[in-house]
Amino acid sequence: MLGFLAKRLPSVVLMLLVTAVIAFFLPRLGGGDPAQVIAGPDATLEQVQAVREQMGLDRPMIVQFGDWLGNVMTGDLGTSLISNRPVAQLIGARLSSTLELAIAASLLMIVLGIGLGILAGSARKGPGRAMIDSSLSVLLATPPHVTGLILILVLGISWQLLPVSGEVSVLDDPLTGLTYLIMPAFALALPQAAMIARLIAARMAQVRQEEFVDLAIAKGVPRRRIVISHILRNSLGTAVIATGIRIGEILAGAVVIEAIFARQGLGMFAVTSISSRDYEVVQIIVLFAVVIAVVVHFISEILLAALDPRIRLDA
Amino acid sequence: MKETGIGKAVFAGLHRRDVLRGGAGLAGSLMLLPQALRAQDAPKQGGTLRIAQSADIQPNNILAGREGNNSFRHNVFDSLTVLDSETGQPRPVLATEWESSEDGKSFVIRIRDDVTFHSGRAMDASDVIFTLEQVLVPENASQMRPLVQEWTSFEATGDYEITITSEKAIAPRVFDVLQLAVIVDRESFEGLKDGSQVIGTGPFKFANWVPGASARFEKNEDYWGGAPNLDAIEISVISDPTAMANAIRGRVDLVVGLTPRDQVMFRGDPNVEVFEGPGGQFFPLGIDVTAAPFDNKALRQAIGYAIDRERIIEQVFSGSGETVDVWWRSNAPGSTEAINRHYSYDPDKARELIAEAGAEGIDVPMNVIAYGPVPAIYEIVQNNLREVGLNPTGQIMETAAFDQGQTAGELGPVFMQVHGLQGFSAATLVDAFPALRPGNPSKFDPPRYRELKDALQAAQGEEDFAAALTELAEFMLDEAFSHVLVKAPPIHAKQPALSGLIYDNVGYLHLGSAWLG
Repeated sequence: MLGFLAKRLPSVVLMLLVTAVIAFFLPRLGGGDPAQVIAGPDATLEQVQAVREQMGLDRPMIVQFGDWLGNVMTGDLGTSLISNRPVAQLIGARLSSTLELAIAASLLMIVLGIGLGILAGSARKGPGRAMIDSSLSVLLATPPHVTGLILILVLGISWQLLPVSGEVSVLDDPLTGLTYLIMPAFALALPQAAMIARLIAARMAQVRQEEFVDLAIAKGVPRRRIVISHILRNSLGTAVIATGIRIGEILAGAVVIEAIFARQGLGMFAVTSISSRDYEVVQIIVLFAVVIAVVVHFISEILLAALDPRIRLDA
Repeated sequence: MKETGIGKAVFAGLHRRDVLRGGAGLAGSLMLLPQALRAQDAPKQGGTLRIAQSADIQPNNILAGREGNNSFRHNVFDSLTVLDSETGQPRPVLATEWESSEDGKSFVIRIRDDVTFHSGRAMDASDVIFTLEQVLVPENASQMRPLVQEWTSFEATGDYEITITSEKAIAPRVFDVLQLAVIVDRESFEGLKDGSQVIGTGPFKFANWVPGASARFEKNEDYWGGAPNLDAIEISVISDPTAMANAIRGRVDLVVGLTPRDQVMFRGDPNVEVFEGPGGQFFPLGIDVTAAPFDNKALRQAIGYAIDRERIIEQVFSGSGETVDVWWRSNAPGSTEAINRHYSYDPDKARELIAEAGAEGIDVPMNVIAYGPVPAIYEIVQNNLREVGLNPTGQIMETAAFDQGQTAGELGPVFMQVHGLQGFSAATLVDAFPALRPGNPSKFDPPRYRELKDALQAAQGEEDFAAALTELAEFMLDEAFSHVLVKAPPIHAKQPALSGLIYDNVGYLHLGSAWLG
């Protein structure tokens, strides 16, 4: 395990450096100016220039980049250009909201994905199979924001079963927190679960053709055991890797879902920071996203090795 | 010294409760809500008012007009005066009386002597001077800076008296400064930059702020006007307009700034009261008068006649708003019906003028700000211009990039903007609006324009002011460098349990008398 991590470290550091360069320069290529945002749309050139100087945005770009990178390496994530608060504090205030949503959606995605995958991958024929396949296609094709709006309309406005806006932390009040989480988590999880289900079903169909399955049947191994120990276990590797990627998709989808359900998470924060040209915040969120993607990818590889004895992490 | 036409007012010992008892005072006629929405019962004490709005509060821009501050600024801070929502005239808050000299170039304000900041420190004239000095600091981005820059001096001429002198007439524009420049605490002013210390003299004390998410304010028991009814105010920032509208279904008591389309979903809903407030926005179409062929006045006028403003109101604003051609209140002295409706929809006249200018079939490249309803307005404008034989090509620009161009005075040949600051004096707006001020993106600043502006700003008394405004308006409309297409009021929604909301002329919310039933 340590050897595996040590081997990957240089490429991870290089990737983070490249990300830092992109995160710093890309927002600045998009036009607009945080000094203008702070000075306001009615500001004169003199007022905007005064704000720019006050914020240090008049320094050469490369100097600003060097300062920022140096600060990040020493653990100083910088100060928001818009609110003048430490970026670490601002992200900390929003992190729990997004984590709650991402964890709830990921759990739903895994449970629904594997459940539907086994259902779809079982050897049934006829209308039952067609119904499962078409249901998966509909779930796969419906984007989270559409699902979210339908859920709001049905469960929130028509039946008034669940709150349509806002959030309560599950740590503060588990029951109320869950009522706020159900709709956004479902909206986020359904298309990803359908994708995992599809992969598992396809892989199960593939494994079912393998010789070792024929051998197990010939030996008289019970059908249930064949499905679980032989077919499913050999099909889950694909799902594990896919799940890692899907968690990234869930985090990306959280941006829209947080907006629809008026949750104050990191996704919403990223969007508002981009529109207000709060470079200091955008840079750290981009870096943060890449770090999360790397960690999730590592975990996926470790899990895959645990599932498949032929794979060696240190190889 | 003599009193101005605006008059002298003394409101000693005004309490906000007096307002609800129908007494004269700060809010007597600031209330804009229709009769059906007014409090009919005795106000109840306690409770937390929950507000949803799309823009975050901006403590670091407390001296500037900012959408996010409209709900909180005048609750944590007090201004010297506020502009009445119905008459546009100033009413006293921290000021008790004011006097202007015969020539209008010297102005004395007297202020209350019983006011303390939330820190416990007593407020006096030196705090007013400090505030006005901060208006002059460019980084504080106040739209009133050009006005204060005009003044020769402002100084404390007593513990509770301030004297302003200028080469130009000070009133009535001074009241726009006194409305926007809320009195800040010099000891904690630096704390406004990151919102770590937000100290004013208002009825609510700042409690906490999660930037971009929420803010909380708590009752000031020692408020000079009497403690407010509410225990606290909580503001939630919800940037998605539909999610914000949905918040009124139980999450909040007041939604500030519904989109015109979202208001429609509440029609007939007994649990939600939708109402229009004062203030709001102008949606102008500007033209660069130096860019051929738009240097031809007939072509610019043709564009004015070609646009169907009524259709914009109906289709984009769901019937809310006003089709007025001027930049100020339609009932301002000197704003006649002929001026207010100068460019009525007349495609035949537009075609005639286009032919006169020899501009049939020309391209009309337009930069459109990607803000709220402006792209939807552009769709109608594009259609109207095609009908009269022009070829409009629009580019939707992100707000941040568009604002940069606006500040630089470079927005291309034709552009569609949005401006706030509704409710201030016409004499202020002509130098405050980016579309009208020197260096505007229409590149319109001929000597005659400057002369007429100066005459308006020097006018003393209503009659002179009306005459000067009429002359300026006629000139601006004839030159057609900027067409006001629509004026839209802000649309708010509230729960029936919320009463006693007070808005001033600019649309700032005053919650000292608000209560939850």
